[in-house]
Amino acid sequence: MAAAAAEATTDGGGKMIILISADGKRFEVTEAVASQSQLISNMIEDDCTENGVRLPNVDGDILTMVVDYCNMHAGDAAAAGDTMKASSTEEELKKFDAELVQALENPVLFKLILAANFLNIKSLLDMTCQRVADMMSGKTPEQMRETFSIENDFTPEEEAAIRQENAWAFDD
Amino acid sequence: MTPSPGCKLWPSQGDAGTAAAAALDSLPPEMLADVISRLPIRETVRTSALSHVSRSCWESVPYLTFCWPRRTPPGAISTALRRYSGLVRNFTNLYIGEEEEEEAPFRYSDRWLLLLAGKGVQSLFLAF
Repeated sequence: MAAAAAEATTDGGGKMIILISADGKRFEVTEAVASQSQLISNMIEDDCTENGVRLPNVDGDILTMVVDYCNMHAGDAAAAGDTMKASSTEEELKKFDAELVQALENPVLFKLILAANFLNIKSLLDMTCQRVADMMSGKTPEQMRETFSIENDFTPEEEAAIRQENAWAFDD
Repeated sequence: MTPSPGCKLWPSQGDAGTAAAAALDSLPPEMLADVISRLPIRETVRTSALSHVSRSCWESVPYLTFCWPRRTPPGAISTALRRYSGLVRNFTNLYIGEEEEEEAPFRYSDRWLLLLAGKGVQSLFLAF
C-alpha cells in the first residue's frame, strides 16, 4: 500500500500525514491522497494534521479500504492532462471500484457509506450508495427486506393499505 | 392523510464507520435518501412498504427521477407527484394505453405540468 501511495503521487503532494483509526491503526498517506477527503483537506488547510488525524469513528478495516480507494484515485487529476494515460487509468479505476464494492458484505458496505459520508469523499459516497440502489433495483419489498435485513414492523392491515395506495408499484 | 414522521425524525447515527449497521433502514436519513434518489420510480415507491422507518422517506428525498413504466395508471402519477415534496430531476412518461380507456393520460397532463412547475423539473418528456 505504501508503495502504491508513493507511486501515485510522484507529481505532487509529497508531505505525509498520519491517519489513525478508531482501533489505533496508523496509515501514512500523502496530503494529496488524504485531501480527497474534504474533511481532511479542511484540516490540512487549517494546519491541524501535525500530530496525526484521529478518526475515532472509523474502524481500521474500513479505513484500510478508504485509504486504498484514495491511493487508487489520487492519480485522477494528474492523469486528466494526458488523454492516453487517462483512458487506461480510467479503465483500471472502474475495475478497481467495481471489485471494491461488489465484494462487500452489507454491514461492511454500510460502514463504508458512513465513513465516506463522515470523511466527505463524494465519489466514494456516490459509488457505495449507487451499489445499494443497484442491489434494490428489480426487487419486490420482500426481497429488499431479505437482502438488507429490514424488519417488517407493519401489521398485515397496514401493509395492505400501503400497497393499495400505490397498487401499480406492487403488481408483479 | 395523517402527516407521517418522514425522514427527519429518524435517529441519526453518530458513528461513521464503527457501528454495525446491518439493516438498510438503520442508515442515517440523509444516506438512505441518497440511496432512494438513485432508484427507478417503481422501487422508490416500494420502499414505502418496507418498514415504518422507510414508510414516507421517498416523499421527501431531495430529488427524484420520475421515469414512469409503460401503462402506469395516470391517476397514480398525479398522486405520486402530489405526495412528493422534493425536486424532480427528470419526468418521462411513455404511456402506451388503449384508445378506449377512460383514464386517458392527456386528461391528467395539465395537472402534472402544474405540479411539476412547482418542483423545479429539469427535463420533461411526455408521449401519449
